[in-house]
Amino acid sequence: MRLAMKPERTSEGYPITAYAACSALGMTSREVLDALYAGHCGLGANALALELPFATALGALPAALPHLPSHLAAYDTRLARMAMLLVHELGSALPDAVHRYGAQRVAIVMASSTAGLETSEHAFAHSLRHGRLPETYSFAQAHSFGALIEVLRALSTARGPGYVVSTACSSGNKVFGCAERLLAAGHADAVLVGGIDTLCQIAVRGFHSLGILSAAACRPFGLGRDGTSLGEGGALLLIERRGPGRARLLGVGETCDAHHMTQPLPDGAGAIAAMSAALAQAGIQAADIDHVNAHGTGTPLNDEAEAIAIEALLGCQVPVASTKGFTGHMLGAGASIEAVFSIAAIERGQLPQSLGASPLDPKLRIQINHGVRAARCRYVLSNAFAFGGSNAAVVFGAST
Amino acid sequence: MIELDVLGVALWTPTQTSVSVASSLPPLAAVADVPSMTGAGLRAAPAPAAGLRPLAPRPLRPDTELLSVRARGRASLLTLMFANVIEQASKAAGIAGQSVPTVFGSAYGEMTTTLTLLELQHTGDGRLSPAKFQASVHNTAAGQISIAQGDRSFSTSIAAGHDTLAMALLEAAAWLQSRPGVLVLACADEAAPAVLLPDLSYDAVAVALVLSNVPNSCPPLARLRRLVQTTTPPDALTERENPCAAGLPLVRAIHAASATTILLNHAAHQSWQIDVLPTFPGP
Repeated sequence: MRLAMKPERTSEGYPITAYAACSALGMTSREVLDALYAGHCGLGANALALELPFATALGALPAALPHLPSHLAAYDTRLARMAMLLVHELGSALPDAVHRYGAQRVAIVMASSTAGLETSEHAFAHSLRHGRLPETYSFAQAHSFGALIEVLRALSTARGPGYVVSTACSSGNKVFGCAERLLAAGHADAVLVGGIDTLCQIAVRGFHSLGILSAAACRPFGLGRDGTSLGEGGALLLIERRGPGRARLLGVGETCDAHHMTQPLPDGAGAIAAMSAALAQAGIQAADIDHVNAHGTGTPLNDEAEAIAIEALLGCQVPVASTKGFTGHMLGAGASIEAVFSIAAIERGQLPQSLGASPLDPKLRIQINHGVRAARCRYVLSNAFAFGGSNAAVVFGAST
Repeated sequence: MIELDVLGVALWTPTQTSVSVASSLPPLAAVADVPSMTGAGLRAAPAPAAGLRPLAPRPLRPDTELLSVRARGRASLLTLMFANVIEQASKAAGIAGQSVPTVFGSAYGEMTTTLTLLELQHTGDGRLSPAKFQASVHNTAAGQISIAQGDRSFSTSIAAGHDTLAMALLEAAAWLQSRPGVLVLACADEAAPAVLLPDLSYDAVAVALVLSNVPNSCPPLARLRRLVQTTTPPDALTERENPCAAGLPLVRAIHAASATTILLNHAAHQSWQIDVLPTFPGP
């Protein structure tokens, strides 16, 4: 083996020094977290006026997004506007990291499932009506995953490695694995991670076609739950090699079910393997986990398999919550904003409630939070599972 | 610094020859003609080295035994391309059938399937096909191949525009630096999606490399080293090629068995490059 640089990872992990978030709950992380802990549900009517021939609850952003500056007009999609909103919330944290480490030492690894598909839907409909694509439409700058990286580079001065992880709904957790490896192998000194996804017709209609979209607000782990609800938004988190952080990235586990494109292993084996790997890398025991941010989509099969996996690995006493009843399932961005929720639980010493879980499905034997709980919270395990049998679990810890 | 051995390589394009390279075989007997990329939108390549043997042209839909007959029939072109090159490269490296971590790279992903969904939205009652929808995600190939092979090892699916190959190499290297062993890297993109990219035309390209950073029983084909940022020379700049087209000169360099540096992105002023070092005498 020829390693030029020995991996530097220690059991202390890496500090998460800043974060930003937007979702149906608010346009900043403060608004989002305050709404989460106040118990406000962001799911509601079809505020974006998507053409849908069925009823469902959606989690759209609650306010209009600012346009990109004119020199980035070709990138000016809903996805890119969310990116700019989030970069602005980070404030000086990102430029400061670039100043500390150098522009080429700051990497960007983002998660997205649909990228600019929402814009391409409009462009395609325009082409059907007018026989040509809109003058302003650029496939590379509006549709592609790479455009998200280009926008974030343009809005910051980060010039290090940049790529998008797109493994559907696990993407937002897998970016933490990328960051950990880039830092450990010495390819970067800071990594901006996160995920952004926008509501679009294909995603909503697609989940409906699979019979896993609820007609009302989703109710993860609840009795009679009948599917998920979709939402939009995103989060950015800055992970650095050193320094004080709001929390620490301690461990990531990534596995494949190798079972079915849209259904989990019924015994939760893939999820257990991912959670176990995350705990092992974090250097902690199952009993150390104070809270589990569940993937908890609200579909009968997913919630049951995840509950089985949590019970098998962590037992029945650890508090568990899914926040998708607040935000909707934000697809590739979901796990990234739930990373912010996980860190907030550590920072605030408050565990969020699992909205919609009452009455609880009696088949599930895990400890679901039916209300906000005050608790000493040192370690949070956050799950994300996806189409294709992709599983990713992340352990976050309190700052040391 | 990145330093990886290449144990096997495979490449697929619809109009050109396919190639796989087995490190355990005598180089010239095993090496096929590396395609001259003169198809629409692809950059011209030097003529194949004298004495190399071209393989027969491949059919439009690549063949693969990684997927069952039923799965092959339903699979997208992109998934078949991935399966084909992963299978060929794995056979060449002597790791076929083994559980190996895999990094999938594609700038645009399942575009043909996505375009079908866009059309379905405007057809009849606008109902989408659930089979098409679940096959439209970027990690469709990763999921379908892992299911077909019963392989639960790590995989990921990334995208980075014309930097996709470079970033897949970085992701692969970072994985191997944390967990030394063998890994398969595969990058593929379909032909330009004419509906959304009407002014551009290029062919589909798929490439796979079996990479290792541990001693192996067979000698490596080449060594990859020093993945670094660079500036694309103005005369090399073009956006008119497949985002994965940089895989072609990379395969050529491995075949040529000569020390060289490969520019991995011709579409942007800022690019990445990697050094290819021979591990056996060239032709």
